[in-house]
Amino acid sequence: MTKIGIPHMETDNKNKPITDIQEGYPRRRFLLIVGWASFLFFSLLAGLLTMVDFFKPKVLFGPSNKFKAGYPDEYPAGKVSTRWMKDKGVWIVRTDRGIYAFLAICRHLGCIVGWVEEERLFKCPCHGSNYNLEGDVVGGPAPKPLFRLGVSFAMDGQLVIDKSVKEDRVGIREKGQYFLPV
Amino acid sequence: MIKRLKRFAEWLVRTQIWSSIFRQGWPDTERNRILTTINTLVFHLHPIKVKSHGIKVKYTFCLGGISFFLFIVETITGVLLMFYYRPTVEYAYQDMKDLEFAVTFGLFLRNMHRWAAHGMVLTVIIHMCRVFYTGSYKPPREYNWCVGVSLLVLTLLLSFTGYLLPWDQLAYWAVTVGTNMAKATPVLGAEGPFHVLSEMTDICFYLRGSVDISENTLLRFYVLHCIALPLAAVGLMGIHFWRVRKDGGISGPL
Repeated sequence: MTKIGIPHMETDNKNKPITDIQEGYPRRRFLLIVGWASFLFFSLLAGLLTMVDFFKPKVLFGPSNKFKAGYPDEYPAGKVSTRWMKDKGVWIVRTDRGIYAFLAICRHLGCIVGWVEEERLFKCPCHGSNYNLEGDVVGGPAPKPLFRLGVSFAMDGQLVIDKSVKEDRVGIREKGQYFLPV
Repeated sequence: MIKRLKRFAEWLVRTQIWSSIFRQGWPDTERNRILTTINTLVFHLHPIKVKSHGIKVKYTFCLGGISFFLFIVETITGVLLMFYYRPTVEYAYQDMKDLEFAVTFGLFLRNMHRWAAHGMVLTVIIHMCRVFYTGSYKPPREYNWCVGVSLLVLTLLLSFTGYLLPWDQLAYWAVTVGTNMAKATPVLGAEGPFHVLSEMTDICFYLRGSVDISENTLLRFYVLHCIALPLAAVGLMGIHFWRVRKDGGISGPL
């Protein structure tokens, strides 16, 4: 005997009345389950994504990442300037070739690192990481060198430090936007 | 498919994780239904059995239930609003504007909080009228009527304290007017009958935390609106719902 698509037309079901959708019509039942399940799934997904987007701050309060740091002449060669240390957490270093800037955040666990002129080292007060004038680790637990920041000139000839532009890779950090020949 | 689901459901209630949390199986027998009600913290406020007239909507119109639902809406939207609102003179207005224009669904959330608040005042008052007209305040329910009146007062206070938080002109002057009335309180108000206290010590000063509306007032109203009054309302609601059950169940037609 060949099966026919609609169950109530089959001979063996002749005397059994179809009472509810779960007994016969497996295709309808399947579509019903798939329909409701996908509706529920996408509703929950949309709700979840909305919540994630809700908790993402759209406005950030606080100072700008970019700031003007005065004219290059204000930084004598061979010196590490601690002028922007307190306000911005940035050192500006001038060598005989040019100017570059460090972010004063230790690469170990994020403490503010201090410049010790006598030893010519950046030293972290928390766990004793030491960095040399290149920003490379010479002691302590820090796994990576200090970040160098983007330096450029403003229209009025002042230095502009951009704390959102950071680089610590050797070969890249010494040139381009991270080094300003003066 | 259905058989396999049934087998899965039977297996699920036998696992230790399920049985340690819910203690009993599916509520498909008389015994398990009773156990589900008395073993669950939230359900146990509800009676084990409800009189059949309890599902007659046209007698109670579910006004208490709608009020409670709106309170839950207020709690959820309110907590979400708190993530982006700072109750200071410097930031309050700006944060309210940022909620409307920068935060995802912030405008919808703020309006939902506002309209649910209006709705809650309305449903609580209509609920009180319904209880009055069906005589449901009569003994043994007179104590629960008093709890209900306190809840009405708390609802109005929640609305009033929330009024100041946008920190715009409407909020400032509405609360100036509203708290000024406290000065006319007998004895405790600086300008009321039999006044004995000065402007710096009267009830209005305590309410505002200063002589005029200031940052102190904003912070006071914020703490009252988000912590003190909702906690008091939740406590009283617990008593209110529990007493409905203890005082003879939901009131119904005679």
